[in-house]
Amino acid sequence: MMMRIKSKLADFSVGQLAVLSLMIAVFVVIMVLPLVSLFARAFQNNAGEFIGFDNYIAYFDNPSLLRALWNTIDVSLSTTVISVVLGFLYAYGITRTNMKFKRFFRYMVLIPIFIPTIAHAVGLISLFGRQGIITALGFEIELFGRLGIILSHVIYTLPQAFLMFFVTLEYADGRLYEAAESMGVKPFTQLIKITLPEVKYTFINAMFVCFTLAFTDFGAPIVIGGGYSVLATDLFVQMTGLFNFNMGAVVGTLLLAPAVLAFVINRVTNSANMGAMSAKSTKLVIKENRTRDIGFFVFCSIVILCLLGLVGGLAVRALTVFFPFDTSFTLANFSFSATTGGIGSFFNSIQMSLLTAVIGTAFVFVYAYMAEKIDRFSAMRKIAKLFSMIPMALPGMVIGVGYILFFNNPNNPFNFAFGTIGILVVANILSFFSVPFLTATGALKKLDKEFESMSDSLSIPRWKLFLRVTVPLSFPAMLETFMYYFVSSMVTISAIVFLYTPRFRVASIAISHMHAEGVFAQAAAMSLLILLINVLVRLMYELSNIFHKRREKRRQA
Amino acid sequence: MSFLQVQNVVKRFDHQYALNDVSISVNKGELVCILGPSGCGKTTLLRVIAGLEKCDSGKVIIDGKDATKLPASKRNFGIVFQSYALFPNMTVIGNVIFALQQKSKASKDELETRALEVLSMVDLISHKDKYPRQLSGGQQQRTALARAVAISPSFLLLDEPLSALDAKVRTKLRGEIRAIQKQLGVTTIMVTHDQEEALTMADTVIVMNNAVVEQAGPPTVIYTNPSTAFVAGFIGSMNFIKGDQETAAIRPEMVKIVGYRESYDYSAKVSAIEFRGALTRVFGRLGSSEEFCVDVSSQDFSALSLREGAMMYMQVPREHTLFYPGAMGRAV
Ligand SMILES: Nc1ncnc2c1ncn2[C@@H]1O[C@H](COP(=O)(O)OP(=O)(O)OP(=O)(O)O)[C@@H](O)[C@H]1O
Ligand SMILES: [Mg+2]
Repeated sequence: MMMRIKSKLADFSVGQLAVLSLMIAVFVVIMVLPLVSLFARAFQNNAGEFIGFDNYIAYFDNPSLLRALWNTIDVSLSTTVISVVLGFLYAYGITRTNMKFKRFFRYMVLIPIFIPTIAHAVGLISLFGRQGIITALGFEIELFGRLGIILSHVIYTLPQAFLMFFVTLEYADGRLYEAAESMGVKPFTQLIKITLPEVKYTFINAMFVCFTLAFTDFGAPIVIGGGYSVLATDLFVQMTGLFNFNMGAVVGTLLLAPAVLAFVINRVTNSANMGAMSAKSTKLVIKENRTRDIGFFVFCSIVILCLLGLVGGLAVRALTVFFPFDTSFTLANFSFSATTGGIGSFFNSIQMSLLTAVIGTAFVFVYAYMAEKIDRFSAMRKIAKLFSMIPMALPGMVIGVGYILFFNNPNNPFNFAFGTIGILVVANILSFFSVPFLTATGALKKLDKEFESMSDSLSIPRWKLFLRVTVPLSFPAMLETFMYYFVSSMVTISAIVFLYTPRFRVASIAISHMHAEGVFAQAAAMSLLILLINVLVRLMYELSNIFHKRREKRRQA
Repeated sequence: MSFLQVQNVVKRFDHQYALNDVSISVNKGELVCILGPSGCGKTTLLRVIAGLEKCDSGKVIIDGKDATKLPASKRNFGIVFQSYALFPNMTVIGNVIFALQQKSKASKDELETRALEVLSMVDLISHKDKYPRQLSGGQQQRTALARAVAISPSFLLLDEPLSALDAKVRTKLRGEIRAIQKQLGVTTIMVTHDQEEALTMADTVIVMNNAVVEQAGPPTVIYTNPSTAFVAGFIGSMNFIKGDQETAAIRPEMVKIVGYRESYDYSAKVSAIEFRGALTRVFGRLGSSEEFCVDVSSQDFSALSLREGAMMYMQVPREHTLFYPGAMGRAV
């Protein structure tokens, strides 16, 4: 039998089949089965019997639980409206005006990506909390609760909205405007008739992305929510406080809802968008208009001042003895108390993020290679491609709950992984998988298809071709993936919060503990450390990119 | 003695035939050109011979042995792709050595000696340490050729090796490829859609159309005795004269322009005159629609004193006229 298979699958096919099967098996274990566990739990009672929709009925009959659902929808909608409008205006300013310091604005608006959402909230508290810097100046707001959550989420989602609009506006077709100009169409009409249709789909996608991010975020509400309950905090309470796993599973499936909807919409709008973008386009020439430039400059400056203010707030609180009562400079807040995780949690974060970045990058590229560059086993490759896009729709909280339900089960052969750094790394690799996969696929598609034919004719095994040719040629994309995985893992909290153990705490968890224990200045200090390391990694990435480009140039000279 | 045979090969993509019952035979040491319009299945045939594509039915026989199921790596051939597929992160000599390493266990020095040997054959020694992107198109092409012959293949496959180059370089490389092929005596199959390339380089030309082989034979036979109307129309210029049962075909240079007093077969009103250097081509219309052209040496042409709008009278020698069944055919 084995002989038959071997002779039928000529050459390296056996190896390819093995790798492809392994990749799919990995996804089944780390994604499909945990999700199945989650959904199964939502329809079971405590005894593990199937009870249909009873849990959902119980959920919707419980006013306090239902309250959280409405609250979540409320803050998510508010966040979405504000972020999408701000993000569009900001991106418009950078792509369609001649204002000064565009490059500065473009990079600075990404600051929130480099710190955990929990640190956005900590930053807001530094400014507007009871001992906040702005509060000390006599300006008070009702921070804890709805307002705080919305502000925090706006900070979190603004860079995402901005990036989406930026990409659309930056690569828009300049010829349309030139044609309109030559026909004497007024600028305002151009905005309505050309620009808005151009960004229509981006608007829809950005709205869903912002809504989903706000809907599922855990970091901000846990410190700034006060008594205002949202789904994410409810889920946490159900799972870790009340140990009501069935109700937890119900909340988990609710958290999944907007993401799944967004996923479907995104698929539809993306395919609709393709046709419009395929034409050859020219770069847009931006017209002179000083009033517009000044207006956008002021707007962008205000946004950046707010973000810098946030970082400034963190810095002031981290570097003073006890603001506002003792404002003398100190570094004492960086010697973290051991009960909250201490400095160890920071190194744990780095360790976890490095592992995620190294293993994740390798996994993504092998996975993308198998999905893209093999010409047999098309059914399996289709499954692999489908799997690759699902993580985009999976909130970290859902992954975390799914993992508890699936892995934290003594009968599970993978149970040994529970409570180790390994499961944190796996959760991260899965959580952030889709974006790197798209990056990797894009890079691989650019490589000559005939490399594979060439290597087959020379009996170069595919793994050798992959290591000697594909990897060196995809180096920039791998670097990007590495950085993305690292930064994302440094700031993540939602899956981790269900999976860490007190022996292995990471920085974002430590921040929440510092806040809970009232050592607020330390929480601010830890937030700064995370920002620092992420910015450093980003700088190293940019530098090595420049270095790599130079080397490429030398090879072409 | 036939070295390589393709027997009744069928290959379908979805529902469309790329190869429909294709059979060819290649003798040892010869250069065969597969010629045909875009999409007719040339590349597919080459890939089937290479083992890079599995055929649905039929056989590939290499050196007397059935190789239909043999994987590409066991067929021992060298291949040059249309895109060259040079590894951009390796130097010229690095590319050649990388190819050599897979097939031989020789020491690094021996491999390098061999690589230098083939690089000198294609005259690239002075560029051996450059990266592919630092080379001109022609140099990249020769690197790919060197890499393909380095492993001393028992046959060589070239997929439109010259199509990415400009006309001048192309003509020069034609000669070089042919010279190297003869020097090595390696059986070579080359795909092209350039008929001049096929006619000047090949020992045997195989003309394909619509997934089938239309004709195979030496260039002169293909040109003087095309066996189907498609080949007649595809190779060189051809006049078609439709009849009721059959279509007559004659090359423009075989038609003779004569004075109106002499006996003639056809007359036509001159519609255009094209000066082409040594030759001049005179276009006319037979009857109402069919366009007809005649090649005259430019020297003779001046003696004819023809101009647009004048009548010309033509003799169409029977012995140079070809006949194809049916009233099909296509004027060129
Ligand atoms: N992998 C494939 N999947 C589906 N159809 C294919 C594939 N490869 C080739 N075909 C189809 O098979 C037919 C023959 O293709 P082939 O590449 O052999 O043509 P060709 O003669 O080499 O053309 P060209 O001169 O343009 O290179 C074409 O109609 C093509 O569309
Ligand atoms: Mg082809």
